[in-house]
Amino acid sequence: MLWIGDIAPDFTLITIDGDSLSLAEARQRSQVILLVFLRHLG
Amino acid sequence: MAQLCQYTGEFKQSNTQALIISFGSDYWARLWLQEAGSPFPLLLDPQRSVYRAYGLQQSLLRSWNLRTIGFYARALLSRSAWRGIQGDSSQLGGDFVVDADGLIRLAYRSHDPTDRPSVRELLSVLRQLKTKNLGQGLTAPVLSHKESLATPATTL
Repeated sequence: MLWIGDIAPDFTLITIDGDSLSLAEARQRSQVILLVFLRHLG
Repeated sequence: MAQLCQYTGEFKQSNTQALIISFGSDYWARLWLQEAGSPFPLLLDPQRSVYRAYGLQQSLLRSWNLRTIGFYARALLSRSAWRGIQGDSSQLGGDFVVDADGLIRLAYRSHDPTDRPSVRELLSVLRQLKTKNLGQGLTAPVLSHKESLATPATTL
């Protein structure tokens, strides 16, 4: 289980546009990242 | 989600990039994006490996209770075009803030589908991080009140 102060696990996922994006890449562009995990798309 | 979209200016001011992650299929994700009009990147995690890495669980018990049944009943009545739940209804969501050092500063794992942090709470964390980045230090630990739910003793 992750706790506050832990290193955020890096990941690479495909965007809806078909591009690859990792957390590390996003962090190079913005100081802070907000990850919003959706429950479902209903 | 609609609330988040209204605060894109505040996120930009805090040098924050929101990334939306879904386990939905490409088809439903495109439909959702079209309807939600989200300006944020939408990432697909069909295997839910990132969901697992961040400790987001599946729980039918927590997903279906009186509060959520009421929520869906209202959605069904108010949105004639609502297509229902797409995907695994037991998967719970959550929100995380990662700071400039790559450290988690907010970990909000939804207790049930209707439980999400308010935009006000998220902006409060971002403001504290902005203060920290300006070299003024954190005035208080950046914690979500829901973080206590993630203790081993209470995690289902």
